[in-house]
Amino acid sequence: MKALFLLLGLLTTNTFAHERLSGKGYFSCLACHTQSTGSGLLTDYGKGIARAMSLRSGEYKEGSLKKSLRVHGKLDHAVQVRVAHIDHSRKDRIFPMQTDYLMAMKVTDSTQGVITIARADPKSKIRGSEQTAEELGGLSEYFVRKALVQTIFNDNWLVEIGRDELAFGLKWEDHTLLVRSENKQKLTDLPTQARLVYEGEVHRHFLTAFLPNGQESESNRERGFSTKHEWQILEPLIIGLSTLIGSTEEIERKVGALHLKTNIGPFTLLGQMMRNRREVKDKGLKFNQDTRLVRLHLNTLEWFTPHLTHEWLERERPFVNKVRSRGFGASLKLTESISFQSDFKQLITGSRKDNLILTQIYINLF
Amino acid sequence: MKTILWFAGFALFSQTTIAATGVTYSGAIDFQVKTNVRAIKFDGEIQQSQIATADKELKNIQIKLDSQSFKTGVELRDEHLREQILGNSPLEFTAELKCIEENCFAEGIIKINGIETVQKIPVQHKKDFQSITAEFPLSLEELKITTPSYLGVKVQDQVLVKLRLERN
Repeated sequence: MKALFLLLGLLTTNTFAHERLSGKGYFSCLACHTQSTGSGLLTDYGKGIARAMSLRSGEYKEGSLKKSLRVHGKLDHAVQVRVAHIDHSRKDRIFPMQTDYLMAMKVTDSTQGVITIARADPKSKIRGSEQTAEELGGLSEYFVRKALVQTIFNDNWLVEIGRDELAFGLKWEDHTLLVRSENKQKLTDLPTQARLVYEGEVHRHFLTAFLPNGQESESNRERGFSTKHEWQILEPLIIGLSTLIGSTEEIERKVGALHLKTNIGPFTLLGQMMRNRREVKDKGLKFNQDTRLVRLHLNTLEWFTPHLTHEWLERERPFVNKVRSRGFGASLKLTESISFQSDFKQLITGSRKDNLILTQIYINLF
Repeated sequence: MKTILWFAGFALFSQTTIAATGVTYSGAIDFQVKTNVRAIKFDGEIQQSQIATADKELKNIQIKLDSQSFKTGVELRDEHLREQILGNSPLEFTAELKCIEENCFAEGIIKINGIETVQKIPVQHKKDFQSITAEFPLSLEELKITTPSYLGVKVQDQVLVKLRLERN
């Protein structure tokens, strides 16, 4: 069951490009995405790169229908659909996952609004609420994943206010789900936040104050501050430091993470170490959780990327737990709109081993 | 068959002649390109084993770079580089190595896609030109190259070039 929970956690957004591209001169996510934390809508240039790095490589051209839908570049939108096939302990399932509608609207040259509305599978937990749409009832299978106003000033600085994921550590959601396994962290996924971002040539800073979004379960309503800093020390080496202090009614947590991204020949290496110190307020109980991630990508082909992953989790008493996860997989980008990702994972908890195979297809219509 | 043998013989003869009359250099040339979008800058490298040849006296140096050897990490970008800047002929730099006291430079003609311009590049060297390094900005405008743009991203005029050569 625990393995299945972790597995369901794997069903997250497309992980094909982002962190890997930092080795190709794209230090900032803003190169290809409309917002500083990456993912979501692509800029025109991002669409060009998505096409260039697909099997059907070539020039990206926008048709007249798309042009008219975009109201001369003032409006941008996309629909993202994911379908997953899971094979766990020889029981396989195929089911549609979250469908997202993404929209960005330019108000002025320096200000834009970004919104993502998701429709979740009624039986899956909605990210950010920790409950299924069925449990929440009514129209709650529709969920605002992102609602941000972004203003750029002085070329290097951005302010982003609204609902979004936190900028913290490596943006690798498979690992985030392991970090959050059994949800002992009691944290929010999509808080309401005010974020100040600096985007320099070799430095990036994120300074965030966050509050609950109001749609979480009560115990998950967290408020606090977080920081993330990335420094491109050498052309192929980026290191990062993230910190977070957060508090819910039940738990106070302090988190620190170090990460790196580097390119060695045709390989991209990603690594992260995170310490998560938590205090259960009523009981005065304090404990640490340490997690580590190592991920290696082979980039010989732009449209087909095999990878190896190793993750560790160690939690202290009273929630003592040791989990190791090792796996391999590959991403295949057929066109700028269609990609596949297949992962094999083995979760090792004590003497127990669970094998999981997950295949996802991503369809991005923009 | 005879033709192939003749070409092979000629190629071998040419190599022998260069080796006999001068020295060859290998090493690395990297270039950094900035764009009008701060978040987009990229690096490229030359993937070529032999980069330069010089005469025995080390007075003249010739750098010859195959346009296919310019790599930026994205194949389509490499194609654009060849289409819009390099063309299909090799990039050539034929220069005279000069030193005035401690300051050395290579002065000569750079030829890109059939267009020639005069360049004077400061160079550093160790052990009597056993190794040569240089770092200099190259203006695309001076080379009469229209700065390329792609989906709203326009390359800036100055390209930073870093050169490290080791005598073979």
